[in-house]
Amino acid sequence: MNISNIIVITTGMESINLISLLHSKQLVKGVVIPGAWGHIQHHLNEQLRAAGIPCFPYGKDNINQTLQSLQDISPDLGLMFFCSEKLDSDIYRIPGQGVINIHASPLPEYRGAQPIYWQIRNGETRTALTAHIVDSSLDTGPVVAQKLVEIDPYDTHHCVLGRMSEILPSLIDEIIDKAADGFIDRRPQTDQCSNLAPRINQDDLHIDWSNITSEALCNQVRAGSPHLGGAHLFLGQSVAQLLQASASDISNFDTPPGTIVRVSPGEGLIVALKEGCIRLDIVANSEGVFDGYRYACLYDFKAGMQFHKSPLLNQQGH
Amino acid sequence: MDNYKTTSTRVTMPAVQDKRLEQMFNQFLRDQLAACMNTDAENSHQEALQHSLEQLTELLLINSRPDHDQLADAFSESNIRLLNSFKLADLNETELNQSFINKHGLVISVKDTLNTVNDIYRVRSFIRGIHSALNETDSSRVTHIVYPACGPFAPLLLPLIRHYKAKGVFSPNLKISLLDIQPGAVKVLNQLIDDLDIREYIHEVLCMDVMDYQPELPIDLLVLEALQHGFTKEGHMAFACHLSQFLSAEARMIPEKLSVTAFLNKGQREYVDQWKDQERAHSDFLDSEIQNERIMLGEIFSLTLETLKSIKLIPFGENARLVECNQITIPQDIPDINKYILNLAVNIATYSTETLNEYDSGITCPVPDMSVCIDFKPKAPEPDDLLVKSGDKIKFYYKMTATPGFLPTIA
Repeated sequence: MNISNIIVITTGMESINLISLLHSKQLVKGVVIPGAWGHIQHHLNEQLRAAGIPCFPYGKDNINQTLQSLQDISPDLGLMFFCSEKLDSDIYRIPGQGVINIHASPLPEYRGAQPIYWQIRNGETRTALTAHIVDSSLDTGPVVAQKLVEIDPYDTHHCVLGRMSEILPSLIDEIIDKAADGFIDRRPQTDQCSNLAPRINQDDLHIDWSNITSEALCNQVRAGSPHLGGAHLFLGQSVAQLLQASASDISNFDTPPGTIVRVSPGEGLIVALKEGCIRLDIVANSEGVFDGYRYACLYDFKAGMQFHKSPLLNQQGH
Repeated sequence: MDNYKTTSTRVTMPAVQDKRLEQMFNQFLRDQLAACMNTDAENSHQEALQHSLEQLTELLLINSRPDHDQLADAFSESNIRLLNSFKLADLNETELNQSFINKHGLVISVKDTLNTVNDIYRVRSFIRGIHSALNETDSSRVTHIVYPACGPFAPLLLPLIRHYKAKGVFSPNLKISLLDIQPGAVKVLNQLIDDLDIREYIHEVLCMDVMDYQPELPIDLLVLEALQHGFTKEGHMAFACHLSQFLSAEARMIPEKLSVTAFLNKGQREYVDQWKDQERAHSDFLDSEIQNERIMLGEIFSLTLETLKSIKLIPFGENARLVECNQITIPQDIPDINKYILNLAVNIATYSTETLNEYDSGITCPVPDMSVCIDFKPKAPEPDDLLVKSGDKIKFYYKMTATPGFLPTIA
């Protein structure tokens, strides 16, 4: 079967490269944007309209209308990429060869909404872009194609995303080839999944100073950098985003974790951890982006002060 | 004559020879002129600095306590002069702003130590105490004064030394060793010593960790003030323990006694209500009603030459040592005791009758210990919370760690 008629299902701007690629091959017949639309979805819609690609909202008020429109298009294949909404199964039955989800992890590992974040945060050095058939559960369907992607020690979320975008064309070619054969060599996933990739909440961005290692903190920061503001710093009434951190050789002298151990132009802003120290390289807030030393100078942070895990409560019991 | 002519010609008519030479020569003259003027400015700065510190010290040594505004004016004048010496030392950014923690405590930045000189009653009490102590020494013998962690101005001693210089006393029998770990502080100290013209009194100015100091001479007078309020954060205790081995048989320590007491009070009453109508904190302005509300628990620790000699250090982990302190009892039958917080206050007997009482100085302001929770569980627990009940006994230890301070434990 020749694949010439594809719909894309997405909620994020991250899929623009995929849509552009398919459009250049004159394969995309429409884009479904499910869920409630925010700024990102409206922006995506504008881009699609400018390119002359039909866009189909898929919310509570227009499910039947969109399903009918898609049936009229009669797509050969659906590609789901960066889609944070769970869809009704009716839509998956419309494309002749089903819907393929492209997931940013080596499934079955890191099933869930934020796979890149959690893989970087957990210090993974290798990931994969995995294409699998969408079934009734989240990220569990049979795998049809997979491309490995390296994660370098300094990679941020967007570095890995960019690397995945580079290999996306070859993955799409492989999916289209295999779709033509009806995905004969599909490979069921095992149920063994050591790590999940749930949605990120505010607590995930706080730094657990009392337990975290320097390696884990560096990973946490780059996982959330830049789109989530890295990890969040709290000292007194000051709140800031930590966008880059590095391990430091300076001794913590058994000071409580979170204590500022050193402030100097040469060595920067050094903070004690349970074991060793961390250097806060790049910090941002509403007033600018600073190296750690300048941040300390601007806000009068000195050795001996202590960062805490979360915003200070007004009352601590007394 | 030929030489004169040649020189004269060169000086008076350079433009005839070469326009560029003339320009270079004019520039040279300007530089020379500026240097002459700077010398004048420097001399004038030195004279003004010396005069202001002499005036200040005379005011501090008057037996009756001067009016506060008069003291404030004298300190302000001296501070301006001291800051000129500080500027002349021309510190770089690292020398100025670097702060850090080492295994014995906090080392604050030179920039943050500049204000120490404005702690009026601390300076007054120490200057008067040191003066009393020196007056009791045998002036015919050499007295070795050691002032560790003295900061860029060594403010508790150098004004007095300038006073002695003006009066022509004590030289050459005072030998002063000044120590600081901050290179910037040492740079300013050297500038200041020259500006004050007191080099003859100075035995050495060392940039080093006090804990590495091995004096050439026995210490006759130890001037030690390396603490923050509640006897915390800095290495005072560690320095005292290390330096005690080098004290001479007749040695004196300033302060003579440092006493830490524990009391309970409501935080709002002690720290807010008591001071809301006062322009500044000082023991003169303590509110007797609020003081009566305090529940005194007793002295938990004192540091004198005698206690220092008998102190037993308990090894604690790789980097730390503990000092066993006293025990107090949380009273029973106080109806709202869960509203009270534990506070630690430092009182200092500098020397003889000279004292520094609660709230007289930054170092004698009481400090609340929020880790001790009496008859309540905190809404936001912290790892070092100590939950105690009325009637419990609390035993204190002093931590000689990178974060020095008291560690309360349930006895």
